[in-house]
Amino acid sequence: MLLLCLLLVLTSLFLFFLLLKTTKTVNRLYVRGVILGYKRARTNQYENTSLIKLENVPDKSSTSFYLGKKLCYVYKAHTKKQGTVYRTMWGKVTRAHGTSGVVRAQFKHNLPPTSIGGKIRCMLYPSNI
Amino acid sequence: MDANGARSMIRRRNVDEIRLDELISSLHKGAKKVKSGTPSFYPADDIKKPLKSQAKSQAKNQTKLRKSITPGTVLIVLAGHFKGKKCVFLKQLDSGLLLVCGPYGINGVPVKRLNQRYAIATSTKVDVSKVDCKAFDDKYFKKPAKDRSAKSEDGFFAAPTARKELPAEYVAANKALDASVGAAIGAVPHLKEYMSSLFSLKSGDKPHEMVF
Repeated sequence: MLLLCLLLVLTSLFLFFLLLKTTKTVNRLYVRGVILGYKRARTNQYENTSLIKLENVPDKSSTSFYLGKKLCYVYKAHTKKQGTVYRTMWGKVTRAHGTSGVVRAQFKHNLPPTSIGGKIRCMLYPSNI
Repeated sequence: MDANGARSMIRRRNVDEIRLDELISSLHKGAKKVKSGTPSFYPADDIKKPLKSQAKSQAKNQTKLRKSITPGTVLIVLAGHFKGKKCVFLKQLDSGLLLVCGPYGINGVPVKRLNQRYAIATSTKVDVSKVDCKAFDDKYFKKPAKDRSAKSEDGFFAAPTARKELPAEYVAANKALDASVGAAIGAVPHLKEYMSSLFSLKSGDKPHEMVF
């Protein structure tokens, strides 16, 4: 019985420390988004313009806040560069696309097709509030 | 191109920069003599003079401060090491950057410069009328020049020298400002806790609908 109690205490302690380790202070200062694809017609696509759906942005009027904001596509590569395997591609929101809160974006280097469906970060800067 | 055309072309550029008489004489190919009124000496190197209009526009181009940012406004830093932290705006420097202070004793943000594009202005204001920040300008933040003197072999293998201490004036000015801003914040109930809290977005947050 005593042994069982000890085991229970130990496991609970272990779990507690595991929780401590995994819960880090969250400090997200960007709005999450999803890369929908490129601007396109039925046959043509224009890779220099990407379409982004931002989280909690349901209509065209809400997109005005995000115009000009910096976008950051973070991806993982196999080789380390500057001490990390994570790399970024930067762009910015240029205008609204349609009326359902989707925005158009231009990137310094066009987003790769593998990024479609992927996550993107919409920063809160340049700020004008 | 005739002589008039050449002159008007030169006028459009910077007159002092171009060897006027040489150009005209080359156009005329010695048909006419250059007027004696032209200056006989020109500096060997072309030194660019800023146009008058350019100098004026540079003076005009002082970065405009957003209306929402006034001395004492609490700002939220959006990027960099201090992202999510709050700081107090003190004044705009000549470079257009904002002089801000956490203060360091409350939230770890030192007296630093910040671009207004990387800051959200909140509606919270601190009374900074008693804060003296005359000692702070862009020069204050300039790093001392690196020692670029020739390196010797002995110097390379020598034990690394101790970290250079910051100038005493720098530290004193920093601490004095920190204390005075800290006192201003301490005077308002709960403001200290607010200043030391982090701003961050949570699931479902809509920054476009937020009132800061």
